[in-house]
Amino acid sequence: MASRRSRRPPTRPPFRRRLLWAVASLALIAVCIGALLFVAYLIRLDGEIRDRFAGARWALPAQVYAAPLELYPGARMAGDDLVHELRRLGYRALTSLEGPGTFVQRPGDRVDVHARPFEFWDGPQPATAMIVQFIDGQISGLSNGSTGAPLNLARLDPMLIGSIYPQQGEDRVLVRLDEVPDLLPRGLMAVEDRGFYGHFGISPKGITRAFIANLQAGRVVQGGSTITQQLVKNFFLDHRQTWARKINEAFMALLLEAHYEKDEILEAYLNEVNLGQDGGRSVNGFGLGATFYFNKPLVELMPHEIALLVGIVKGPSFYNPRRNPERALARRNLVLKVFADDGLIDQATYDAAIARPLDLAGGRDGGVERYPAFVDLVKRQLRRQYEEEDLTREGLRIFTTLNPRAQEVLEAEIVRRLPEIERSRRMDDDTLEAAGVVTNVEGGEVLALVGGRRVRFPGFNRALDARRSIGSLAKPFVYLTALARPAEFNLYSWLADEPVEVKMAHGPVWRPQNYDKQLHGPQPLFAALAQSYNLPTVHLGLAVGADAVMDTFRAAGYRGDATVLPSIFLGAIDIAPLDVAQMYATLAAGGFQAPLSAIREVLTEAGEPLSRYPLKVRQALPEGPVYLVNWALEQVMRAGTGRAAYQQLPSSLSVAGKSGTTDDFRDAWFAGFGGDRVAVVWVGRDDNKSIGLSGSSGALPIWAGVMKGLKVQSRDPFQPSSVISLLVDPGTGLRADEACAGAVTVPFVSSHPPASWAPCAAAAVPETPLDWFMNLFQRPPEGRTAQ
Amino acid sequence: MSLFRVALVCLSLGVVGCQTASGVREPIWPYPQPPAPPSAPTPPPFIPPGGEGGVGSPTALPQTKLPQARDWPRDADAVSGPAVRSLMAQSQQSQAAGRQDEAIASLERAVRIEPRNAFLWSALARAQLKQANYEQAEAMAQRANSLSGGNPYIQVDNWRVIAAARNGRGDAAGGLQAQARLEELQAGLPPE
Repeated sequence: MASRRSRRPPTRPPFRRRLLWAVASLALIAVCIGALLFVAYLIRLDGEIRDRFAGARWALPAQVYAAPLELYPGARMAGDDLVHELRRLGYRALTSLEGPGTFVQRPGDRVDVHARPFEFWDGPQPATAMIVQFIDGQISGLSNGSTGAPLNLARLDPMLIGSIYPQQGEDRVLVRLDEVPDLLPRGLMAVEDRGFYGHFGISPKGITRAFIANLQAGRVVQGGSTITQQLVKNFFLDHRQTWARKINEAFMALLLEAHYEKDEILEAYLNEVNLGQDGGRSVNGFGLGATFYFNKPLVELMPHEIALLVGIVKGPSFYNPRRNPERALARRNLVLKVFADDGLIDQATYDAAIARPLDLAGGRDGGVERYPAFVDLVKRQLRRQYEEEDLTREGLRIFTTLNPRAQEVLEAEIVRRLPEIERSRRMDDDTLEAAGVVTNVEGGEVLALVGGRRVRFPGFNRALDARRSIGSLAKPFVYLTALARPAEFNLYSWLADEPVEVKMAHGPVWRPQNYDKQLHGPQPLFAALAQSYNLPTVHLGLAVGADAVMDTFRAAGYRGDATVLPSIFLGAIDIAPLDVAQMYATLAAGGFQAPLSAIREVLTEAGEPLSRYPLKVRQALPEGPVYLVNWALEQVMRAGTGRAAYQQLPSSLSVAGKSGTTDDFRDAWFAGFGGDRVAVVWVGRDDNKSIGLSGSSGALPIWAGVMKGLKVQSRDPFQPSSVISLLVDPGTGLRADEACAGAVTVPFVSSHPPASWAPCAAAAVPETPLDWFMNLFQRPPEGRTAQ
Repeated sequence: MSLFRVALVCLSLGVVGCQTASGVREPIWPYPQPPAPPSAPTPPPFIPPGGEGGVGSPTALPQTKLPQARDWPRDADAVSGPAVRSLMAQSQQSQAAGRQDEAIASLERAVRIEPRNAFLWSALARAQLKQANYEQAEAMAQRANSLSGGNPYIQVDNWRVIAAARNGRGDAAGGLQAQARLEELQAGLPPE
């Protein structure tokens, strides 16, 4: 090219003047074209800016909240429990209340709380100062802290437990400029852009300074960016430091300033700026920054916390306070110095702030995604009704059923016990996996969910997706099927404990054995369940039929489509822990089934109610037989395979439950309930190899620890009108009365009490001498025995 | 105590009498002892440790506890804590203002506080009926019945809901049955 140009040397035209004109015209045309292009360029930029700034500026991830803690007189909660919850909510412990988000623990079992304001589904609850008094582990008094008026009921703001953002997406919590602490915008300007309110989008002074520095270095090392430019950069452009980008950025900044007020730009900046990364989620804006790093709302941040966030802006990765705490601390202190030098904080505040540690909430990973397994359940439930777009863009507010206290207990038991079991069984570390579910008895709310031992890791959710054989957890439903035929079976029906062979339709002969490979002689029905004997269960199951048992499974909440074979009597049926929880919750509620739900309400970003997940019930199983089977499940705990639970639980506590162990000890299960909570625990290996643990040794200790930690209430079921409790002679299972020593009280379906009196009973005297005489010689046919 | 024994004996006689009369049952005295297992010696009988009983512990039969009808609490205020009472009041206000969802939400919140309060389930059943959710109305009324501990006042309310719910979804026969049960219960109530 160059050679071609140089081929003809420039010639001087004869008419200088005309040439000058021509050049001038050409130049003018060029300038005009240039100007037109420039205008077109500006118009394009302008359009982009308006589009971006107008209307929905950000895709707002749905915010997921735990259930709020309800405070009311009579609530079972000690002062320390409340303090614990307040700390988890990021409330500050002080010696006197200083506005929302603070509390004071006073002597005499009293806690003063200034609850934060919150928009609940049924309306706003303003910030309220409260006095909470406790006696014997209960709230004894609740009153308004300013007026002294007694309060019947108050809620704390619910814990933010996660958000639903797109894969590799941005997460943020929007804030308004008028609700952020004053120090934040002022401090931000002092550090990032002193002339913000004076300049017109770009700062010539800053640019000159940066230009000189960059020339000296021979490359772009410094940005003279104003806050406006930084916002533009975050909004539209990539983060490469090139001249073209710089120029674009400068023009867009000018246009932005031309269209919008300074305050609008500042507010946008506060919500846009990147403050860190949390796995695939980018943490954007100071609203989320406050919860991500300090677990409290922005308004409650102290100067040293604001300084850290302001400092992080310069390099969220470089100054990551969790990964590089020393670097972040130095940066924070530098920012505090700027605050003090500019007179934004006084000397005393500076001295106090500089002495504080970083005060980060949470561990190394931090973040609001505290309960990935539970949030996963929430997402799945939402996806039945909402599109992915709605969930990740519309800023929906999801109010869930998660009970942070129950979740904490379940996690702690699993995290603590698995290594203990591994050590005591000489297994390699991290051999075992586990899942757990806690629900309430009435209402079908999932209160806690653990999907694996790494409880913060959003991986394989075993509570929902690990479908494993449930082993003996199936037995109560076999027995229930039998007890629903009161003319044939009651809790004291005798079941044979004898070998059985079942010829399968297209397979080998099935020869089940007892767990201990022993025969124990005929067993009363309830005792066979309590001891989890396999052979009596198979005899019983064969008597009622596999189809009937499958019907009971389904009625209780089983949703799968397993083949109906006799092996289901012993739990050769794969069910996920959550579905097991549904089945046992149906038992716990006396046969009334409330479909399990993780969500209570969904609100729009503006706080408008969008959808509600109301309580639903259905009488799924017959009340009387369920009462009987639950009675037997209490015997499991008192004297059967669940009795080790009472090493942890007080003997006065009545709970019902069942262990489950599968072939070759692959799975250890325990499922059961007290008066108000249902819990299911599974322990096993992901590769489905044997763990060498039974339900009683592997899962029961965790289950019992959970029940203890939940302070579960004792079972005290109302006896249905179709049930009658009668004295029984345990040796024969027949009716007893005061004359029988050692008689026990056993419930029966009242239409079918035991048909005859035990020999010990006073009432057992035959009605007529003739009967008595006849009976001397004639043994009547046996009572119904399952064979 | 003696009254109880008389009741117990009467009850047992009644039961025995019924069976004899109907003739369905086999003669069953003496009941055969379970046959001894072929292999192992008979283990000691499995005695449910939870079950009290035996001589001198007649309190083990809650069924025989029949309080006078006038002892039954007639409304929620008598059995509910202040939190639940205020939520019920709140629910009524919402209902009066036509905000049915909020009315139900308040009751659900109350159920979370006192899950076994039959009056609450009753109120929920009525609220569902008002919204023409007949299945839920009946199911919740049944739940209220099962938690009523025999309180006829709650049961009268519940059967009224059940009758209306059945009629509402076109089950006239079921409605009549419920109505009959309702009248039976009402007849048993003491005069006002």
